[in-house]
Amino acid sequence: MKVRSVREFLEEAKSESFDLDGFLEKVVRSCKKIQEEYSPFITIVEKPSKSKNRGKLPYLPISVKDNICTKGIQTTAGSKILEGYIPPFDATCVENVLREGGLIIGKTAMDEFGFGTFTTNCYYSIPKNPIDKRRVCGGSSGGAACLTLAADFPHIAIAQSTGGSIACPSSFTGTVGLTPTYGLVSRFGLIDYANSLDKIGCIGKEVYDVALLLSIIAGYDEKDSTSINKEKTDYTKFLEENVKGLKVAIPREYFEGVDQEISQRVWDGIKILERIGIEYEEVSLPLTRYALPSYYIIAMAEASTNLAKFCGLRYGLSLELKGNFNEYFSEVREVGFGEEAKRRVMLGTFVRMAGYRDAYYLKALKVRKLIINEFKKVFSKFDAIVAPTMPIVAPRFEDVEKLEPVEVYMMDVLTVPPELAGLPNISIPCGYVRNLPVGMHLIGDHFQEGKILKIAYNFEREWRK
Amino acid sequence: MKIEKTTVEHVSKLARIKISEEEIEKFANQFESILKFFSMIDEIKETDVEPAFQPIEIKNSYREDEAKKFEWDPLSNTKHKEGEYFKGPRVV
Amino acid sequence: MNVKIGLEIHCRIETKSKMFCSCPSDVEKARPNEFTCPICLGFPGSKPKANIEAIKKALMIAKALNCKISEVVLFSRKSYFYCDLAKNYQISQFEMPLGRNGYVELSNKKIRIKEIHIEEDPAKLVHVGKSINEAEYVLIDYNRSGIPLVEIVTEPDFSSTKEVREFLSKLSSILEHLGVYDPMKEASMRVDANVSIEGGERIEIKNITGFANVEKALSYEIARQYSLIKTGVKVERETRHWDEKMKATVSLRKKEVEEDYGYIFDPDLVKIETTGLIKEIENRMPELPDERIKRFVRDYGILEEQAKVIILVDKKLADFFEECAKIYKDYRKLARWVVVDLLKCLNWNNIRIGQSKVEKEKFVKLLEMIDRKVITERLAKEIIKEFVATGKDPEKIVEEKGLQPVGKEDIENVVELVLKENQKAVEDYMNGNEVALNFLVGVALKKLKTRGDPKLIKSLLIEKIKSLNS
Ligand SMILES: [Mg+2]
Ligand SMILES: [Zn+2]
Repeated sequence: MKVRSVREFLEEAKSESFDLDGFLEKVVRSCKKIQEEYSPFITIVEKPSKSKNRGKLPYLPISVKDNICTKGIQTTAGSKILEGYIPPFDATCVENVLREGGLIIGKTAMDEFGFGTFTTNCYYSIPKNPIDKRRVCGGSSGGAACLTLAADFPHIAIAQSTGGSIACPSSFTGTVGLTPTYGLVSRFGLIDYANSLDKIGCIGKEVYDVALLLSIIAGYDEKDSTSINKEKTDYTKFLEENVKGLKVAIPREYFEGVDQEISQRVWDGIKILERIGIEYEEVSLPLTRYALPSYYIIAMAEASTNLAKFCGLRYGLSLELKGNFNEYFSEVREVGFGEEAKRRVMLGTFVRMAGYRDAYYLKALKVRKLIINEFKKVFSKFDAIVAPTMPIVAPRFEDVEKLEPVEVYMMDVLTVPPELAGLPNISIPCGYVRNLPVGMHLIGDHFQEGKILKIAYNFEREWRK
Repeated sequence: MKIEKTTVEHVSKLARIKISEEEIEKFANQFESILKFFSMIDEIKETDVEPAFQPIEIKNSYREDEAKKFEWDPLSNTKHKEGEYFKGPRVV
Repeated sequence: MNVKIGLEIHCRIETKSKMFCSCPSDVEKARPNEFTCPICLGFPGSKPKANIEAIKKALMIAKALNCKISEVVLFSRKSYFYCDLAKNYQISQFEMPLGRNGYVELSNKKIRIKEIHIEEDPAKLVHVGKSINEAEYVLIDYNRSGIPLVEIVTEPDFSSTKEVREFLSKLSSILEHLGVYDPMKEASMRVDANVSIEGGERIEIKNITGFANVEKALSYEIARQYSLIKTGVKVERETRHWDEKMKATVSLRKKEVEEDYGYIFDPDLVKIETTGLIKEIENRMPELPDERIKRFVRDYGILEEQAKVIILVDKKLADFFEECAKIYKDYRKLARWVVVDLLKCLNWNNIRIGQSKVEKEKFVKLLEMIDRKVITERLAKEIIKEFVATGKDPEKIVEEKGLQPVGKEDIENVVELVLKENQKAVEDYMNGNEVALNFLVGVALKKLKTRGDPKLIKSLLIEKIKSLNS
């Protein structure tokens, strides 16, 4: 059965005769089935609240990554330490979706607080890749990508990325993942991993879907000090624009150490771009190798302070009040955090300790500046950067288990540089290796979402031919 | 840099995360390789640059001094309460 | 042996809302945890947003204390775990404090200000049990969590408690004049003091509330260290706290974890440039105590010492003086009465002018009653006691106590009576004994309950005696 596209569905939902109750029942039933099969959810919302006004997303099922607060619906960020936590407010992006008539159908699985690349560090459920259940979905927005691919109903996912958590699972599942410029979408209501890096974005089946949802969730929010004061934009307007004459840069460093076949598929993609009139040129970004350590230092330093608040007093997991506060907190955090969270909190504490702080934390902030400058130079000549999203295709669970922590961090080598610089990026499928999808990564200059979306849209159309 | 077990223990105390003897050993080894990887940034000698607090420069974002009460039950997510107070572990 | 004292002073900045959220900051009115929200309680997903008015007021303080002002305001996270910290870190400032290198001028020395920064107040803990050390658990009221504070750090420039007293009094007056601080609010000023005596290590006394306690704690601590040194015991570095009940500084138990604050820039907040703000606050800068003292001397012709007392004790007292001066023109007399009698009675009642029921019209009326000779100064000194305690109209006090002014007729009657009853003295006077006349005046005054002008009585007596003769 052909699944209706979001675009088709929204036309239908406008009609007065649309059977909402029947539709909802089918969606919930479907979610439960998908959950049994692939486990993308932490929470399924049985009775989504229905907005009275049918705005731009009438009755469109929307899933929300579980680190984004939903009023009255359990929000855990994938961590045991937040088990049972019911937020007293909606995240701004959720508010926006509800205002436009969207339906929040569930909270999707993720690595605990976003700490992971495969969505295997989740206390609740570990999503399986619908293409091959022995394989991971990628992470940390694994549940979002999994559901997007598996859903037999129209749906778009609100996901979130710190260092590639949207691009990676999109690449592994053959979906479209859009991460906007830092500050374009309000972070109010997002449970922080690393505040100077976190971005809320979307995963959809096709480029149109992510452009549509971005138009709803992007925009200034006075509740977030880092929200950018920019006018509301309809990003779907860019899609049909001509791409002839645009120039993209192909950075040499982004193909080093990448699976040969993956490189090949991406180059196939670049040829398609050429076919639709986009010029390309190879460039060098020599600072690329410093992005990963710089990113992890900043991310862990910030994360270790963000996670300090979880101590079993005011919300989430709590134990019997025993001992003094040091003993009590240490015990709650021992029980409530998973291994990767402990590792990152401890490393993050280390890199900001007196004596190490300047060499690690402060230096990393400076390196970030240099990397941003290097990107800015490229964008003074090019409209976008094109590269593989991930150096590998979706791995098997058993292979992931064998990896040492530092090897896992290395997997983010391609997604991290643009994310460290807060650049908008989109991962779109560009082919298959051993029947597993390969993602092509389009990276734009700050606030050039329109440009990368239209390249992606035109590419998608050509690629599907 | 060699990471001693005492360093891991000290950090775990600072971070208020109780860890077992086994974990200390494991983390000491892992931290050593991760911190070695972090130290790659030492290769960059250029330091005469402003640290980037955020990826894009955002400034002068603030609120005016207006008071508005938030209506809610702050105790609804905890069982550690007594009357209208939160209840916490003793200090000493 | 030299004493060295340095202070870290936390002052609450007066604003309508808290530092990073919109919760009202007049938490004295609230039930426990009533004035809280997900932001000041650090709920996951909440984000802080800086209160610009608090920043402006902090800048005014930095300016008033002659600091070099930072070009940008940046916030940092100071990490440490404690039940009163909603996020287990405090939003504060580290690398770039708002102000640096300032000073406050005392009567015979300058106290250098090392830095001034903004931070958020933690919550209030109630230790349930006998004491902090023996409590079973704590009750937490987060109303105070997130209230804006400035922390003012001095260099260790004080060499006596007297200087500390003078400094704190001046600082408080400066803050009051800036309109950024209300000394009446609970724990509105909290002080950490570092004390060292030549030859000993530095001792930190944490969290002393109120001026009087700072002085007591320091005096105690200096005496304690002296006696240790005298008996040859080395003063070791430690943190102590002032126990109000025991009237002593007590050693705090050594911390289990030696905190490393691990400061990072708060990535939820962005830098705020001060250049534009400085222009605005320059226009808002009011007259400060030093200028005001000069003006009082110049415009009211009062003594500098009096002006200092009026202005440095309590800004509201100075305002009161000026209000009175608008309707009462004998400024020197006014100053004398404010500095001596009014202040004495306020202190006696342990209140400030702002808390008392004293109204300027009624106070001036009291002075005018003296001027009109309705009451004597001596009587006025009695009346003001009740006046300050109750705020009652001085005329009413006079009436209730039967101290109504006496008319000329009453005095004449009394004079006649006195003459009749003291024939001997009258004769003595007529025989040229001047002392006898003074005696008669005294008797008359006594009968009049110290009311009535002695001069008038005297002249009436002379007049009557003369008429007796003729
Ligand atoms: Mg402080
Ligand atoms: Zn609040």
